[in-house]
Amino acid sequence: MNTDPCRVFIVDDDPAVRKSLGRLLRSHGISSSAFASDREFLAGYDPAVPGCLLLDLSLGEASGLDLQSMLSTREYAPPIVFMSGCASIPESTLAMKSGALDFLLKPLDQGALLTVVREAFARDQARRARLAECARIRARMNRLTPREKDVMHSVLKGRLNKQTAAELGTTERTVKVHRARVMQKLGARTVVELLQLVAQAEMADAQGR
Amino acid sequence: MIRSIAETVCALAATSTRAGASPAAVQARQPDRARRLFLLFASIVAAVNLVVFALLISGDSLDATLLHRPFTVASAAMAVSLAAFVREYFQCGNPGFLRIVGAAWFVTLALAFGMAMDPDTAAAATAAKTGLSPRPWAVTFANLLTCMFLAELAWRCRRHDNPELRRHNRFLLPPFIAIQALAQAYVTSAGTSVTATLVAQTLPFTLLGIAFAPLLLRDGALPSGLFARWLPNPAVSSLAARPRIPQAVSSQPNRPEPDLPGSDAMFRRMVDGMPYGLLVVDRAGRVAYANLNASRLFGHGQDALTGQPVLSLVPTRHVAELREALEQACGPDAASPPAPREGIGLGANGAEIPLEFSIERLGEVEQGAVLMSVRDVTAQKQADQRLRREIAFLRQVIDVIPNQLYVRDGGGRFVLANQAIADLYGTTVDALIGRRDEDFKAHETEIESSLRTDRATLETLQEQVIDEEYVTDAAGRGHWMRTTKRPLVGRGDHENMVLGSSFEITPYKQTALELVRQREALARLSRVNMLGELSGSLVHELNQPLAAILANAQAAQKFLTEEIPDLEELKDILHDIVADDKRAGKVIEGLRALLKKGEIRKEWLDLNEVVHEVLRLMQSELLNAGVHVKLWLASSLPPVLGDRVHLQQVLINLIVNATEAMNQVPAARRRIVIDSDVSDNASVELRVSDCGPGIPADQFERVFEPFETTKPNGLGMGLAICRTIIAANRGHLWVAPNDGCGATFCFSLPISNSKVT
Repeated sequence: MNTDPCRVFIVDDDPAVRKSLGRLLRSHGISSSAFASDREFLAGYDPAVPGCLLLDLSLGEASGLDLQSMLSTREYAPPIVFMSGCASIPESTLAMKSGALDFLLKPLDQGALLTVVREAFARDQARRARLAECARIRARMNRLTPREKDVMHSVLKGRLNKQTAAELGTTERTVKVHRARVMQKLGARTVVELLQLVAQAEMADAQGR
Repeated sequence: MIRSIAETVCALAATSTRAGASPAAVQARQPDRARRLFLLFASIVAAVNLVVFALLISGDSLDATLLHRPFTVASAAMAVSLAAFVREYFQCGNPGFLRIVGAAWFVTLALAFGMAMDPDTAAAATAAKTGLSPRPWAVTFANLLTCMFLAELAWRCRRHDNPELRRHNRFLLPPFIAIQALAQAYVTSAGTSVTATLVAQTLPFTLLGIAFAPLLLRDGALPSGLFARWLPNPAVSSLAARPRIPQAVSSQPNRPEPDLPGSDAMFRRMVDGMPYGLLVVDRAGRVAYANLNASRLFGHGQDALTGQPVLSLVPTRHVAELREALEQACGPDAASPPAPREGIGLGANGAEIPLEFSIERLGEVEQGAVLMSVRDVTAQKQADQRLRREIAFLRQVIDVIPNQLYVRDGGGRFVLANQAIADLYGTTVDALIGRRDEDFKAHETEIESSLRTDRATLETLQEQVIDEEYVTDAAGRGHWMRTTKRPLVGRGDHENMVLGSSFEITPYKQTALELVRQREALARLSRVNMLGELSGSLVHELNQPLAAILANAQAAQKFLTEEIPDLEELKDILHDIVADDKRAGKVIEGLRALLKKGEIRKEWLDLNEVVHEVLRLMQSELLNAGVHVKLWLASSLPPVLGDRVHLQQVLINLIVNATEAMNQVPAARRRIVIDSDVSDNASVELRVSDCGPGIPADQFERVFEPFETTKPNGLGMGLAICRTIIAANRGHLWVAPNDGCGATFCFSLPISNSKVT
């Protein structure tokens, strides 16, 4: 049953809430880890583990919003679902603007929780897949010689071989060879495919931040 | 010469009559027998003098034998009046000067008198036509004494209260003294004619006699004299102090009596000296004898009184009464000693005199005669009346007093009560006297407690103050009283009593209760208001357990759908649910306590605990405001007595204020420090410090005043209520500036062991 590799990271200062939420998720086959404070979470969180963050807005002395902004500077931030007993509109707006997936009010509705957690998992996995693809493309791109990269960029700009040769100060024939090699190294059969790959990689780059 | 002496004596007899009669005149206000005798003899002397004078101026030659007769008559009259005069002075206790001079004069004049009685000597003197008698020193000495007497008289008359006497004195005495002195000088020098001598001596005396005679009938006290003040004897005023009996003198003018015990004079004097008026009434109902006091009482002279029908001494409407009394006294069943009666007498001037009299039979002495002793009770009646008026006045005063005032004896019986307490008992003052509480009231506890304090007052003889006493009046209404009981220590055969004074404090008590109610209502209102401010925090506090319960319950539901439910897990879940539910219940309970319109419930508290409770309630509030709370609480505080909710309210108020004061402070510096410790072993102190802008020194007290606020939506009641609450818990609340920034609000509460309630 517990086949899903994703985990929910619960951060709440209230032990009863932590425990009960963990239990509820477990009853639905979702594994979870609980943290009492932001510091504890930052110390114990493994970004490699897929999942989402179920974050209480008020964490004793600290605020959930602080943790959110802190995580946003990290290499990888899991999707964040906020929960609060008494959230004000400015707080919730701020949380959503900063990229929170959802904002749940305590006591949590079971259905809504499961839905949002699953959505978060899906997003996380999708993002992780995208990032993996991106990494793959990047790895391929890293195999290109500088000359090949130049040719590739020129091609992506829609230049003709002849124009590229003139820009790079080489012959059209040489450009053709480079171009064929780029296509081969990146596994693209057409220029359109090439364009898609590169765009995908750049988009993932931007999203990963 | 002898004549001049006679004249001198005449004039001075007149003077002495005045002097001697004056006390009697003051007392009895009528000429008595002595004075009348004086007048008689003085008139004779004056008449003889006039005759002599007439003879002197009518003829050139004088026949010694012709003069011998009138001289003899005049001398006899003079001797009599002189004797009376001296006796008068001896009797009335006139001070020494006149007495000594009078005695000396008597001796001198006796000598001169003896000379005058001797026809040969008188004839020889006349024939020799000289002014000097064979014993000239005696005459000269007599004349010298005359001058002194006149000077004394002049001195006395100068200050006499009779204006006529003063006038006479002013116009007549100085020339008279001068003439007398001149005459003496003239007589002393040899070779003067007897005619001139006689003229010189007779004229002034005659004039003086005529001038002073009318005054002798007048009243008025004679002032103290000129020479008298040089003598050690008592002053003239002593005249009035010593009873004088002119009756005895005037009735026996020629026989100065020795006051032998048992003598008639002695007896009379005793009778006259009695403080009662005594009347002997004979069988015919006439006054046979009246003593001095009786004559004074009725205003008749003693003589006038004698012979009067006794029934004429009472007003006509009392005649029958007196007659009956007289008859009864003579009857067989007369009481002995006789019972005093009250009656009315009729004075000489027609005034009615209240009397007390008793009548006693004098059967043994005289058949049918009675002795009536009479006392003027005017003064006593007046005193009685005054006393009654005073009592009535005091009665009115104590009845007007709105406080309940009463005196009770040891048995709880009312001895004195005023109208206010009679009203309270629903009865009259008179009905209350001699009765007890239980005769009027049915409230045993009230009666018992009242008697208990009565007893305590009597036992300790100390004032007892009953601050509050509940008393039910006759109509069944309750009154709160403050009662003071004081012991009245009895004198003589009086026992100790209790003076109670009660003061109704019902209105004050109602006001005080109303005040407490209003304060509590205000405090509650302010708590509700405060809870509104804290709603975010409270919602969070409630939501946490609710969230946990829901999640746990739903997890359990899910677990139950499994084929083999994990019972251990379910048990665990249920346990958690119960715990969370209890936790939520506690929050609700705390809320309800804060909102409840409850009595002040004092309990032993650990102030640190209260701080933690409040911080738990306010946690999210503080978080939202970005305020960091630092606690420096004493490790163990002695318990204080107070109302938990009230103290929570104060703390919440102080923390909310501190938080709001730091609105404009950068988030990093928003810090509240709460510290507690024991101060002076007597109280627990708790301080809430902020880092806000602080409070100006001149506002330290104003912040506690109602409606003082710096908040746009504040009521300005928070701190005012806080101070009231702390005061109600016997503590203090104040504010002090911090060293760096902001202000510190402190409150202290007394440590419980100082007073256990």
